[in-house]
Amino acid sequence: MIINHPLLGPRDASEFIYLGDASLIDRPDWNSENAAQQFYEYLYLRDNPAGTIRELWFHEYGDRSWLVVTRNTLTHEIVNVELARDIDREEKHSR
Amino acid sequence: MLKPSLNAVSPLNGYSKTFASIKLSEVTELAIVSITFSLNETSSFKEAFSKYYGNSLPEYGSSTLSKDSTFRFMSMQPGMIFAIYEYVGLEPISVLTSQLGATAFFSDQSDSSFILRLSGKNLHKILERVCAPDLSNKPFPPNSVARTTVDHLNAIILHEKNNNFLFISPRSSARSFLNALETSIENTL
Amino acid sequence: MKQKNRTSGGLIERNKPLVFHFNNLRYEGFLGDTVASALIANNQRLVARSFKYHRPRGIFSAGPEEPNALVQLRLGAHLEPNTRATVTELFDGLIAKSQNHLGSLEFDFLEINNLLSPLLSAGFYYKTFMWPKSFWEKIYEPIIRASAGLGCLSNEPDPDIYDKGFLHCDVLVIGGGPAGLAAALIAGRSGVRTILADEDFLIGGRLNAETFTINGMKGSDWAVQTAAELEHLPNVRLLTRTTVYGAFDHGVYGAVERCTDHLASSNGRPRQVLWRIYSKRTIVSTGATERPIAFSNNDRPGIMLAGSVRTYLNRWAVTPGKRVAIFTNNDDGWRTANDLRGKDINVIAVIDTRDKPPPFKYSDTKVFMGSHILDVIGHKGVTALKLPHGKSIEADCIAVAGGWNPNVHLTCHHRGRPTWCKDISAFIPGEELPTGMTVAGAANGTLALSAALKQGSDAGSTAARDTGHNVVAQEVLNAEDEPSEISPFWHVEENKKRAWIDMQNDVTVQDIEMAYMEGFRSVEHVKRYTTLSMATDQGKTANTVAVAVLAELTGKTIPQTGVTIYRPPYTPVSISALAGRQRGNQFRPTQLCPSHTWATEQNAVFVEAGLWKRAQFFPKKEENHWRQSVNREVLQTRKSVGVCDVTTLGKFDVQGTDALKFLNYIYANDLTTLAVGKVRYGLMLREDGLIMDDGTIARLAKNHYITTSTTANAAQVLRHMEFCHQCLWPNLNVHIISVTEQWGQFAISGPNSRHLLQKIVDREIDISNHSFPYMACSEITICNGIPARLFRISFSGELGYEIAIPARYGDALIRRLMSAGEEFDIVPYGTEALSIMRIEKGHPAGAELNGQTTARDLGMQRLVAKNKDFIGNILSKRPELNRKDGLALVGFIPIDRRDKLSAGAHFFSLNKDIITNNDEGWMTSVAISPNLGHSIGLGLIKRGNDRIGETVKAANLLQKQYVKVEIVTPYFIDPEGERLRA
Repeated sequence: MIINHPLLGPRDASEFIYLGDASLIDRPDWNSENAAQQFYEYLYLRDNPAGTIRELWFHEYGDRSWLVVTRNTLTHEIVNVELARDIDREEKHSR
Repeated sequence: MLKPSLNAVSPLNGYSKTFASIKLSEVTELAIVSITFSLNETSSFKEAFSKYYGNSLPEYGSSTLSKDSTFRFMSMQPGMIFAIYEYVGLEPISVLTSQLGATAFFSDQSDSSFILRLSGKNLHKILERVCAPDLSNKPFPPNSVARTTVDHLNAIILHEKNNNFLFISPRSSARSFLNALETSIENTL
Repeated sequence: MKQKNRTSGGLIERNKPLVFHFNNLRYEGFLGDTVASALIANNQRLVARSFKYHRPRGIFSAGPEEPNALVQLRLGAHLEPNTRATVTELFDGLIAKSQNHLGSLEFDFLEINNLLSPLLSAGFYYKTFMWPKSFWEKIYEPIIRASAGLGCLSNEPDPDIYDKGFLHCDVLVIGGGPAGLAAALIAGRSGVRTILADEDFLIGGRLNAETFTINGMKGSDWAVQTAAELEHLPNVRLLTRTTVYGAFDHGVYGAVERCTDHLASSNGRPRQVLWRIYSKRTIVSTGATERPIAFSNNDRPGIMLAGSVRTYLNRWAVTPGKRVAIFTNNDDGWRTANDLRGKDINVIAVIDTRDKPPPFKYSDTKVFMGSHILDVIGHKGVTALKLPHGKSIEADCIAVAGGWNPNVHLTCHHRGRPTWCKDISAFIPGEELPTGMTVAGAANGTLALSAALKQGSDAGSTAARDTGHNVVAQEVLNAEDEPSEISPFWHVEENKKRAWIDMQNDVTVQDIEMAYMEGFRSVEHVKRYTTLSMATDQGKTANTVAVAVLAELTGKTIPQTGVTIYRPPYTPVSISALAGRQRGNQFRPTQLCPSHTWATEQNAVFVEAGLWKRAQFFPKKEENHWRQSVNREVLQTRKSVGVCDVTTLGKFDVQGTDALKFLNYIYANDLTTLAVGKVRYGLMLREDGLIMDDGTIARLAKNHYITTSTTANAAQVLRHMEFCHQCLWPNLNVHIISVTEQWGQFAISGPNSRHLLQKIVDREIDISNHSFPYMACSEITICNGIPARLFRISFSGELGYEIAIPARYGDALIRRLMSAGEEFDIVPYGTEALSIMRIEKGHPAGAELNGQTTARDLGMQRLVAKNKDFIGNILSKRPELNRKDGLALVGFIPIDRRDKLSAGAHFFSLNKDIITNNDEGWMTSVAISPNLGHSIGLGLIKRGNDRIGETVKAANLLQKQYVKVEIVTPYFIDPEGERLRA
């Protein structure tokens, strides 16, 4: 499997370590009223679609960046790879 | 000022070996310092860097030399560059802080790695046994740098100049790494 | 007469004769022969005994699809079973033996299985060996084990070496036959970075087996010329003897190159290389494999694939028989008749199943159209064949032509399925191919030469264009388009004698019929029930015939019946090749501490901690049990001073204006009160509230911290910190650098540790108790200006420090510490003593931080901050993790001091039965304390803190040991911590 690093180009998957679903980026607010419920869902509940998913991969043997990889679990095609820190800046801009 | 009373030991004890026309040897007396700068605000660092070292920062996967060629700067990830330069002394960081000052953070990595130089003709036959990334001349011309895995060990590979490659890898696994390179050479002789 | 079956011509080197042995008989051949072609040359028809029925078998094909001619090659440790004689290159001194017979090949005692065949049909083992039950272990199983399997191993380690490599290209061409050569030629000439791989030792595919011409030149000569041009192009790499065995994701292919299998010895060179090939485009030009027709006794030696007979004749200049009959359902079978007649070999008959005029008229060959073979006479080799209407013909070879199957395997490795093509009565590549893959030539169902060449050229052009190259003009390649009309005919239905489909696993038409009778319908089920296609040849000559037979039985069409799933590898890949260099002590890398050389000089015994080698203990000459050494190390350290290399711990430089803010997010502790020059014990939780790791946090300067982790979790902690920084809090100004390797670190413990340190720190550094109290830290210099970091922390519970210096001085420092410490009787201590001391001190380590425990369980709730956001905060408050009767870490001592405690023993109240419902916790760590003189333990037990003084039982159910233990404080030594603060 090849992951096309946005800065370094295509690299073999053996340079990376998989963590889990990209939703792990959206950590709940600890101060919210139902924080416990939110953290529980954040950590344990997942959709499991046959098709496109977004995952977190760590480039451990490369540049140590966290990447969000959009991958199709049926065809194994990787449609997009972005730096996790870039996504987050957009989403969390308002915080 | 008294001389330090402890002797330094290099990870591979000054290893050097020739295999037909291929030479593999340890490089000592090079300092390696990682320079990290904030991605939120880079202008002060870039200014200081250009002032003292002349050229702009290296692109990802590449390296540049300072105008007087004393320093080589390598870029492999956002927000950090590695500086490699000849240095014999106890405070390698001081050489950089005197110029870049408070625009960045420095961490001495001179002891965390060992350096091996591989030189000779037709190195590609050896390199294709070493690691997955394509190290041939077109995608990896001189001054290119890549960080990857070699037999499950972290390694920085620098295409120093034609027919010369540097391998930089964690000190503690130096012997295993050396073994991996020697095997690659012997298997392709 | 030597090599009596040799004919003229061929692509062998007659000026290079070779000698080899088969079953201890001496034979001769030539360079360029395979073992099979040389055996045929010498008229050795019988080469094997079949797997189940031990029937005599001969060479069936001329390629990797061979089901019968499996031999055992070489001797001693190099012995390799199940080698296909058809692809084994002959070398001088080669030694081969037949397999799978009791007694000689000629007289196999186990042929009695053949007589028992009604009892041994498909799936017989599902219906037998059940009664009596007692017979299973002593009688049935040993017999089955002895008879199962094909060939036998040397039982010695593989003496050869293997290697791995990585290749990159724009275009990978798989298969160097006409289509592949044409594709590689145009791509190569257009400057494309090309790899052409072929499994054979002579590139050219069928061009070397047929009498084709290209542009007026002999096909095999055109192949040689083309290969030479490709060799000279700097952008083309030719890999012969290389099988591309699997198509993986994203244009990645696996290939095995056989470097020395064709030589008498590998002479220290890698025998095989496993290549991972990264391609942007791939052209599959893997050709096609012929299939037979099934008829009674069609497995006799001398019955071969018709195309293979041509290969032996044209490439290897041997004829498998002197009176050859052809049995065909298509035009291609006639080509064999023509080629044989061209070499003056007697073609006694052509039997064509098609009811039409014969394509050729022969004066001296009997032709039977619309006919078939009813039976074969001959036991150890064909002597005659029977036709309908009582006709019988004498023959010593039957060349069977049942049609050609495109080699679609690689196109289906991504769970694709091939499509049925009526025109050629075969499966061709399906609609969905792996990314970047195209198919050309016979592999694509384009069986005719001229069309295959054109298709190859076209594919090469397209691939060149797709990879951004200007394509040169296509060269016109003039060749024939040989006729290939076929009428499906899969098996002869008359006659009740067994007709073979899968030769290697001995599966017959009758077995398929029985599977159907027993209710199996799906092709996947029939495969597994009959074991069809499950042998080393993966049914290459059997699959389609079987599918056709099953289709007939079920009344479905062949496409409706479908084929089983294709999986890599295409042909067998040895485990040695997959392992590559990772064998013996090169299996994993080793990490050595800075004091390793010195420790080796001390004859330390080492232990593996992950990839690190750590000194476990330092035995003295007079000591002959490890506990003597370890007790000495513990006692001496607590009495005076000991030193231990602790470099392996994860160490991280955390710098930046938001460093403190960041650390507060990832540690449970409130770090806002951590002053410059102070260290704190830190607890890192997982988001689910359980402890991930522990370590220390040292503040060297306002925005400069050093954190540590356990050795085992170093990589994971770095990963986690980077995750928190990049994914959760990317706007913080913080930089994390791993400095585990940068700093060699030693723990110096014991009442004299300060005195020792004062001898090596530079004079101006003040490390008195007042200036450098417990939990202080500082950057210092030692030994005349060498930068170092000193931390006053203790794992042992004694007055202790950890000193870090640049790793290059690690060796010199341990020697200096040892010589400076002589006056204090300093002792080096290893991981065993380290462990005993921390257990004596009640300090949690890996066994307590096993991912199942919380801060509360370990009595550390006071460390956890109340009012800040940090990883694990919210979920650590879950009720189940905070039960009143929850676990607590306490100490345990045996009531009878002579008893030894076991880690992993579970606790039960004295009056309760030892069942799961009554389980109250478990022992996490144990040690025999030299200070207390008996076994001690740490463990987690419900409401432990309220039960100090109580006696419970510790049950070790594995060794059936039950020990009465008293619950005590976990701080066995210096519970007030006075020594730490001395």
